Amino acid sequence: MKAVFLLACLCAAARAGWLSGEAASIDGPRQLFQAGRYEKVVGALGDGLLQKLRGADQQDGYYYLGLSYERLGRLDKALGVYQLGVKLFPRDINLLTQLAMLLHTSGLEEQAEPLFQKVLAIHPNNAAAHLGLAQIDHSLGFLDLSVAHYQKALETMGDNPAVWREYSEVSLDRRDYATAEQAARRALALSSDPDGMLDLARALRASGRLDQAIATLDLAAQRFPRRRDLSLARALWRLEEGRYDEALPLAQALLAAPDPPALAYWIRARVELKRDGYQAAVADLRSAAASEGDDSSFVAAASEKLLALLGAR
Amino acid sequence: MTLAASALRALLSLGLAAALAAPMSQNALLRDDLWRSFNALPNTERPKLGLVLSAGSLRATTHVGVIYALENAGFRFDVVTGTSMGAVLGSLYAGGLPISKIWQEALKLHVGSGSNLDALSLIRLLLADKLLSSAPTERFIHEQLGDKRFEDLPRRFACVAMDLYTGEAIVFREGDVGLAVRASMNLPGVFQPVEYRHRYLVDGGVVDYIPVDAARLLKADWVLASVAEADYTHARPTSVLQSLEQVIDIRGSLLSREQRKQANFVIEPPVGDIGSMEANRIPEAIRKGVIAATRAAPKAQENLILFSMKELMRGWLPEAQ
Repeated sequence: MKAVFLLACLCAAARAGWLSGEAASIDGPRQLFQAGRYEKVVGALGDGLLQKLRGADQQDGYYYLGLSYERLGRLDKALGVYQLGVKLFPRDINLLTQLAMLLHTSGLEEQAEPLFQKVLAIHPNNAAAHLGLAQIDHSLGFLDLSVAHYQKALETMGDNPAVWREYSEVSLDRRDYATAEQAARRALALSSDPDGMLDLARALRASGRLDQAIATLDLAAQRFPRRRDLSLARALWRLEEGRYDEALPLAQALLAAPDPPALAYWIRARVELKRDGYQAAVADLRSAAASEGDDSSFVAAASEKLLALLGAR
Repeated sequence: MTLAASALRALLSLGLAAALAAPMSQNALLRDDLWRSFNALPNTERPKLGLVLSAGSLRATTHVGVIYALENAGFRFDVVTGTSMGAVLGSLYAGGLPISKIWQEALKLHVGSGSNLDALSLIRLLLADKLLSSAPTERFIHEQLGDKRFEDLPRRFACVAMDLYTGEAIVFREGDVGLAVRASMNLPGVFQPVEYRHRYLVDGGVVDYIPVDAARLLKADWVLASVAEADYTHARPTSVLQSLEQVIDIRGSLLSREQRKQANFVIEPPVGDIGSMEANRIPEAIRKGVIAATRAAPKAQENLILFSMKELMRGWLPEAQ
């Protein structure tokens, strides 16, 4: 029994590096990581140092190695590092979270979800896990669960405009327009960006304030003129409000640019129909129907359908 | 900064949130615009929407998830039809129960639900050939909806049973809802047939797995079918009940190939590997229904918009149209 005890102590000591005298440190790789020298981090840790690290240092080593691979765009390597790290340290929140995030952003939501849940089982208030689950639940359709996770995430991440924007979007999908608007405004108070302004405009429109929605879009389009979706929405929503004279020049401006969007043809065609410009409308609808882009396939199909109704296929 | 906090910052700086934000596509903008217009059409001026819920025993609880996701996507159905479990869930939905309540009830279902199945009754079935009673199904519907008749329901509803003597599909669209749903769910060979107006009625899944025709009969113009078909090629029945269900599933699958073509849009959650009696997998079935319908919703909206283009463009087309 004494011999067994002695052997156990020797093993523990060896593991701690007391006897081998080879205790390595994570300090070097950490400093390289903080300096953004990811290739060096990979070189240092991949060259046997990782195996020499012990305890918390080794955990951090897996974390820095995985993250460095991610920053270098080598996601397959990062995935392997995180998976191994999680096997060795199944309760390491950072490794679990990074693996979950990588799976999530790679579209493997159903694999990411149980990992985020595992993080929450260890640390119920973990904001990153709540955020990850909020996004996954939103994309999979569990809107009520998504909202609950966003609310938890915002307890710690209330200074992050992107999270407020996402909360606005899921609230909009739940048809909770008041919350969607409040969240969009919170996001804009932190950072004025085009997505935030679009979210606010959508919330205003959904709650019946189309005038204000259009005014918000107008401001957004002025500040971010390269965002074509904002310009298209301004024109489209004016059609909805019956402001055809305003919609037309907006559509024409889009059509005058290189690679005009199919939707601008659709908008102009609708205005022309209102003005009894049948031939011009048909010509524009044919242009829209001929569009081959992935992001305009429905525009093309709708234009085809309208042409059929006009008897002008 | 602790590693945990720096991890959080790193996660955000990786732009997880930003990675998921993207400008709205042209398709999304137009779909959003026309969907709004569709939902703003007066009820009398838009196509009638039908929701069809297939048979599939406990596997068909996936329809709960499908309905949840379609409601979130803004679909408002005028007509609901169902067969077997589709009839149970469809009657509750047509009866105006909130989907959250239907979800709760679905989670309580088990193999003996809707019957007097217990050890003794099973022994009587096997030894004395005494069929079980499905009266509890009728009681369950009455408990949920009251003693409502079809004409009292907020949405038009129909369900399908089979006449055991003639093989006809019997479409219930009037009378007592509880009795009709019980007949639609009545597994032949296990439950006593339901006697109704000189007919002996059993599960409609054998003759009408996906009751699209019944929806058209109720004047649905556009029909979305939720289908919970079994992948029977992998099933290995080990009991009398499972063997019976396998036969119905095979028959249903052969029937459904033609019926699917009659629907305008089909959503089929991947529940084929869930056994018709696997009550422990009901949460999984519902979950898969939510995911499948969420992913299909944009295409379903587009399909309906294109179908309704004439109504949407009323007022935009030249007078001669």
